[in-house]
Amino acid sequence: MIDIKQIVILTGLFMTVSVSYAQSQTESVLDSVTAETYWYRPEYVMMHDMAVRNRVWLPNETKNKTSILGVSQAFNKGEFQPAQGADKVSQFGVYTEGKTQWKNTDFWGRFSYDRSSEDSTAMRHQTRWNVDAPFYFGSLRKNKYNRETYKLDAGIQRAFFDNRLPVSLAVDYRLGSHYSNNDPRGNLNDMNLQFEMTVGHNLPKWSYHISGIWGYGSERAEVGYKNDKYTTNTDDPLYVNWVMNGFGNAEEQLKQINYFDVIDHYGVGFHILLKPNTANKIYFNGRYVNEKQSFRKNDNSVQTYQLLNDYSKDIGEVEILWSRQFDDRRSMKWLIMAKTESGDDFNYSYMANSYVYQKDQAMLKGQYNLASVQLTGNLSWSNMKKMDGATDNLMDLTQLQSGIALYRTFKITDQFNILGKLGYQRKWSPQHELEVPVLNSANFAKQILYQDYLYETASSNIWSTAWVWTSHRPRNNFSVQFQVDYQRRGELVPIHFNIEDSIGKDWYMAKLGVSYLF
Amino acid sequence: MKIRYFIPIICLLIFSCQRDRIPKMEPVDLNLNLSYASEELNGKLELNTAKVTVTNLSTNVRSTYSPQDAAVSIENLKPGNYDIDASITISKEQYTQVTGLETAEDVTFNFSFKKYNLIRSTTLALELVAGTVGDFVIKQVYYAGSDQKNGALYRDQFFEIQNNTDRILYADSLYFGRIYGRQSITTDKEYYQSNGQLDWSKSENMTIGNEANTDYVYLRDLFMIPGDGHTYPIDPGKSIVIAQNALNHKVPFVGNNGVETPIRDPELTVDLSKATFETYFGDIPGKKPFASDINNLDVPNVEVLDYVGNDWILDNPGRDGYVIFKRSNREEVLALKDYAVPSLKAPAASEKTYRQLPTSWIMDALEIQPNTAGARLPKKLGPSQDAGFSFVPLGAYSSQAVIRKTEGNNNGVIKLKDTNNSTEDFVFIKANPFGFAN
Repeated sequence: MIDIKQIVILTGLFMTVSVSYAQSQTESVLDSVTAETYWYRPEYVMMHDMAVRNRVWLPNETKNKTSILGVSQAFNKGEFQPAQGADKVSQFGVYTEGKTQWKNTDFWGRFSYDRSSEDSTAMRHQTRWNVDAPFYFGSLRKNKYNRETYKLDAGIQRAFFDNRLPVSLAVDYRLGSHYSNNDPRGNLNDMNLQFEMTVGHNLPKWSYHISGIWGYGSERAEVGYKNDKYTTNTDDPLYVNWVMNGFGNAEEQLKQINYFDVIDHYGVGFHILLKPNTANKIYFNGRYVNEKQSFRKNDNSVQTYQLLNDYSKDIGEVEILWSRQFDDRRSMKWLIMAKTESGDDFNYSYMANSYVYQKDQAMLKGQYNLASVQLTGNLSWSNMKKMDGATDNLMDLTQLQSGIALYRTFKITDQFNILGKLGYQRKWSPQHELEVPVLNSANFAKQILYQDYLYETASSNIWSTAWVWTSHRPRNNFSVQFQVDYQRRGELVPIHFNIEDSIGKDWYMAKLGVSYLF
Repeated sequence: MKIRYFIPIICLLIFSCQRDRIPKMEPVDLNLNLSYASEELNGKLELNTAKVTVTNLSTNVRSTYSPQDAAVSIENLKPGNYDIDASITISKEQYTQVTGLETAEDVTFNFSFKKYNLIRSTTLALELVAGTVGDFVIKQVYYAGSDQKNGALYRDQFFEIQNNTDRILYADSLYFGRIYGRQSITTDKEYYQSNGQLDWSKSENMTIGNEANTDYVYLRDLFMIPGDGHTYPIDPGKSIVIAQNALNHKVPFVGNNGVETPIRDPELTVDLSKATFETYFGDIPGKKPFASDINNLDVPNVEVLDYVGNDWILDNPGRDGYVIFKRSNREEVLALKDYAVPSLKAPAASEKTYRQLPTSWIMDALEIQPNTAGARLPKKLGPSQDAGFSFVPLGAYSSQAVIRKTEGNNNGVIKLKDTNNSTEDFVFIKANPFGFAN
């Protein structure tokens, strides 16, 4: 019997190979750009990323007959981390991506496999894809987590009626496995599948698309102990398993620790491209998605499960990307993104809504490109509010982040280039509030709330540098990437609570990757 | 490009469409009004130095409050189950001055709601009652037993009682036993009171009303220390240990069926060969005791009045309550009525019945509860007997015992703490017959 992971891998490889060998008769302007420039220069990366998020634009902003196959290894380490973070993370990844045209149809595909090891993490057995969900298990005991994630994303577009009626289909698929080996040991599996079907209309100066989104997913979690004594008493608080059902609303649960989460989402989207002249392009993208999660536990009842929590979230997002080409050497790009998420639950313990989640974000990014030099600047604002009605816990945080980065491509020889990046970001929180009544939350929950509050409210500076060595030949190029980030926090806000795992000052990240461009 | 002027407007539109979400669930308020159950004490004895403790049972967080004008107001509590305890200790001088009654000790008044289900804002009246400060007190209960493979299982259980006075007391005709109550919160086959405990007023042939629940407890078993009234003198600060089996459990034993049972880890169990008394079911007519119920002829047996099972096996999950009382007239005890559990179905003729003990007879009592909050049961004992409860944190077969705290040492005579609230009075130790907590 073929394992589902094998199916995913084989499908991913098939797509990549198909894409790389399919021959295209049509070439866009992008096709005159070299492969290494397309994959690494920020001016193209920005457009590529927008097109991957909004696949109706794949024919416009992705390069044909170019594929990438890469491996990377990243190391993250530090003590400046949120409560449910990890002390040290090692991530290995393999990825491949490519696009082509065949018989007036655009095909794009991307496959990635990530294997990471978190040594160690605590406070939440989680997949890390569902961080605002109100229901999870956790304990104070730190644990090593191993994660494997397979992702397969695809996009296809064909234009009918003399290229006036484009129809697109985007598919995102993810499959994850997460487990820890020490008590209390967790085992989680997740999957997500999403389809976005789009119909558009191309006009000489502009085009527009309307899309429908539908998808589903699941998450299964189980926590157990090898040592039975932890299921019969709570003498060692480190090993006590807590079930969180809300924001800081946790209770002990020592046996039969499992749930499954049924996820459904649907939505609509719109995509508009304005091309007033050859120098300017403006993309408008908007999307609304409603996601419903139902946390359940199997039992012996007639319906075979017990309802624990229903969590519903509305996600609205818009982005506007304006690209202006001044001349052959100079261009400018502006990206505005705004996103709002509103979630509320129905807690079956109270038969009422108790948890409310709200997150609003806006980001402005500008980029100026002058020949081999690129300068980017960004400013972002976010407000996150979590409330729990039963416990009266409240966290309300506003955060700002601004930064600047300078990129430059150095020509070493006719065949080799080096792209360098120096960046600086600053984060701070101008407004914040935390309310945690004394009696209503256990120490476990308070550790999470207070540590996250300290982490999110601390100002920090992030310095980063990245270097990419690329070969520059007609076909079959290689690249080697190296990146180092360093984050250091400022002062912590005063709190009247004793954090057991004190927050450190630093966070480091180093990444090394090798890619083959073909 | 005029279109660029619309960019901030679109962003504004997105955020202006949001509503400010507030959870529909709300926390609740709890108002507590303190008074003395005895009307004549109200207004004479103060209440503002009382200590009110509220424990959230789902978070295990406890907070202590001091009343103002005999009231405590707590806002924004999470709906759920709470233990609510109040306690005040009045000095013996003040108590005597106000009541005209002489007392040898300070008097502690208690009130307790256990596992109170707080689902809406509520005002509760806490009526403080004085408990009996016993001459004999329950000192140590080793109900958990020791490891099933490496220890002595439940065979090494024991019960210890101390003379907590400054004078010699006689253990003769001292009665002890376990009280019966609801054993599971998942079954629903009996009549229950509002606190979830059995409603004994609904028992077959019960002729009294709610007094059946408030003025009596119901004995699961009952034993008596023998003697002629002066056979077993107990010095001040000394104790008697009643063993299930008065053996040295640290060594292998041979059961009354001739089978030898090894002890793999003697450190897990105790030596009860020097116990003061033991229980033995072999003398009960028609009763075949367990193989482990061995009669140590060097240790006197207690008299068995009521029993269950084939040996005095204490409930090691911790669902028993314990009482001691003293009556010189044995006939008076034997004349106590007994009742079947107030089950929804009429009891069968063979149904076990439980002797009805007046709470006014109780010299000391101790409520034991399971070690995990979710398994706890409604309390069997009222605040005048035991306002709290105790447990061993590692639970069954853990070698742990609950033991009363040491309050003082007067010329070698150790006095134990006794405020009629076992949550405050007891701690846990590795079982240690004749030992002390600290």
